[in-house]
Amino acid sequence: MAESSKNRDTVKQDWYRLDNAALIYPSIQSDRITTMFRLSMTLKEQVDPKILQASLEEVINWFPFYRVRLKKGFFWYYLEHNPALPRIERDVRYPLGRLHPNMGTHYLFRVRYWQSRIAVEFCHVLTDGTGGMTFLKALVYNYLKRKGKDIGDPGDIPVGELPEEAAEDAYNRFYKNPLPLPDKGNKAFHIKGKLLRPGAIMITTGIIPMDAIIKVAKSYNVSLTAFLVAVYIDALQELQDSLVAQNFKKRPIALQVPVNMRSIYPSKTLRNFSLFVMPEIDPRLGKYSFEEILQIVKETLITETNEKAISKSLARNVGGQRNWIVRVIPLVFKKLLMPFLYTRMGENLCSGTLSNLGLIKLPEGMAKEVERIDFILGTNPINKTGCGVCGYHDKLVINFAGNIRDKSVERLFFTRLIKMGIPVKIEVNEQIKKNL
Amino acid sequence: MAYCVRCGVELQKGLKYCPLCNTEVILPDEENTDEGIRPFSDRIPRDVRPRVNLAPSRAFVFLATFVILVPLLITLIIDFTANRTITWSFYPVTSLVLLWILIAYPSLLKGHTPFQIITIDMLSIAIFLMSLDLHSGSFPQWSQYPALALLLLWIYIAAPFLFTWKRIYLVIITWFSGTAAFLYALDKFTDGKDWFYPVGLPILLLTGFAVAIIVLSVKKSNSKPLLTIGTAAIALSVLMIGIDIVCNLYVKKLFIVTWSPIPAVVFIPSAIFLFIVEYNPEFKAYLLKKFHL
Repeated sequence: MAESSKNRDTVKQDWYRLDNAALIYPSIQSDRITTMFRLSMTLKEQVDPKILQASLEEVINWFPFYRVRLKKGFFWYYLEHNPALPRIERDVRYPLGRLHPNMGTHYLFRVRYWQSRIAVEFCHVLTDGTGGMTFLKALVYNYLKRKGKDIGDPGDIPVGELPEEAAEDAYNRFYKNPLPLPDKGNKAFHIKGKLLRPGAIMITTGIIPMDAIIKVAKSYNVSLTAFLVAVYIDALQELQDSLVAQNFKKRPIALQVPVNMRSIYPSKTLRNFSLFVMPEIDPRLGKYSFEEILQIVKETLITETNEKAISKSLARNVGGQRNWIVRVIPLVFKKLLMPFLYTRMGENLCSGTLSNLGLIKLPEGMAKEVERIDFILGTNPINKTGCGVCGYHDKLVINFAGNIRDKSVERLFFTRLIKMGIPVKIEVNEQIKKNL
Repeated sequence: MAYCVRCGVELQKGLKYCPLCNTEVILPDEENTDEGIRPFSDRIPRDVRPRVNLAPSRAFVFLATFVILVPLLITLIIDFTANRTITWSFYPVTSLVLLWILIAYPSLLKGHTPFQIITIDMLSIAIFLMSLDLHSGSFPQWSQYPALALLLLWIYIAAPFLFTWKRIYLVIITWFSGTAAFLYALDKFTDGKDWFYPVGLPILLLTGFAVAIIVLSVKKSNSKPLLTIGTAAIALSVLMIGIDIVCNLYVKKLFIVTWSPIPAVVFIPSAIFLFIVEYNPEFKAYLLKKFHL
């Protein structure tokens, strides 16, 4: 929330508190944990960098809460207006590299272009997938308009300064105290493998015809997200079975599935507002059939994705932030504690992340110019792979990003789809040079 | 359009191996992959290293000035009302002024380097200590020792800045002469006991000699750590024997060794063992096999 001064309007406040989800990211981000995600639109024509730069310079002013740099306060980090203009960059082979280490002077997002693609890479400190997508839509809409395309009505895409509500910390607004705390969870199964050098990332993209996969999901009577989560868990189950022989040595397999809280609470914020649900199976109890996994995932997504269940995690997260003892600890000490919390309460508990942005809708005129939309999650050294899903038009694009060379999970995931009769086209950012 | 015969997935143009299972693509598309849209550019991201910034912002210096000013004024006024002159408050006041200099200096000087900041910081600390000494009576009573130590520390820091690590010999020579000068000055200050020439200098020379040998062996025997460790062990044994002799000459006026053979019989056979291991590949392989972790 912007700290607007009540009495003197002459001095415009130009800083923001971090929202509740963002608090942890500055302290844990590193070469390995980049805390970034990437959204990109592939257009039907080559991108003109000059026009894109001009668009970015206009659009960034509508999103003052992204036009910021990260600064250290005595007790917390905060975001401060960045007077410099953001610059577009040429795209690279390994996207989602960490931001400039001197974050106090640099932006927390990047705009990259290559051939006909415009990509934005956001640090999670700024926003989540929904906020990032809104920014990308506004940028591309403005770009296409400047290019002289007839793209018609913008619909819900911002074309001017946003209302103050867009910058609110919705976690704090909908926080209720006191509530029982959620379960602590168990340490989950993690993929093993030697990490690539920091910065390198293996992207495996599966492009799937939307109608084919929807048909299969419908035949099981589940949503697309539930279907994909079940396939992912099944793939991880097979991977663990091939690595660990005895059942009692196996670990639970849990997936982090982000939930867009804007669909549960009436907020229009463009900063972070999502939480996780974690469908989980326990292979110590025996091998699960695909139907069993599907049933568990479906029920977890239904029972955990409602206002009451979500408010428990909300209460824990925001409660921690509001605790006076936590607040008066100087930042230097908080920084020491945060990585520990992050592994202990976040990454250790899940075997991977599957984030589905859903079907992206563009206004008709703009849709004619956009070929494809991609969503890629950053990696971290514990879970190693993340899966970003995003549908557009007649295609579903599933992007796996990993920081190990081994692609067993990707193979198990996509071959499962093939076996169900869903055609998959694979793209990668780096070719394997020789047979490993 | 190529498919992987094992996974069944359709593959991006131009792939020679399936990215999922590494199976060779049997019917690859046209070799030329430059046409059409490749998913990612080939540009490798630039590696940016963080820059250390020692200077706080001006606004922070402003804040710090007031935070420091309040206790400074309080101590001054209390001391002055009680004693009508400055007595004990000299110590807290000078400490606070020093603190202010340490915080504020980097941000007030434009275009500073970390080395400049370190220099000014050390100089301020030396002046601070000397002012304390001056205030408490006859000067110099004790402050010359920490001041000299600071000077020596400054020489240690300055040498790599001046010559860079590429000319490590120059750095070591500077450190060596700096240390010698420091010891000589200490000898002069502790008057009466002439110990620099009979003890200080010989030990320093021996140490310098040992360090030079170790540096040389690190540089020459690249990627042979056993040789380096062996050479270092022998150099250390010789150094210890030398120190032993010098000390006995100074204290007992006798050219004898007392304790140094004990570490020598540990180090020298160990070094010989290491040399043998290095030059005997079969024995080395045997050791690796037996003791692998």
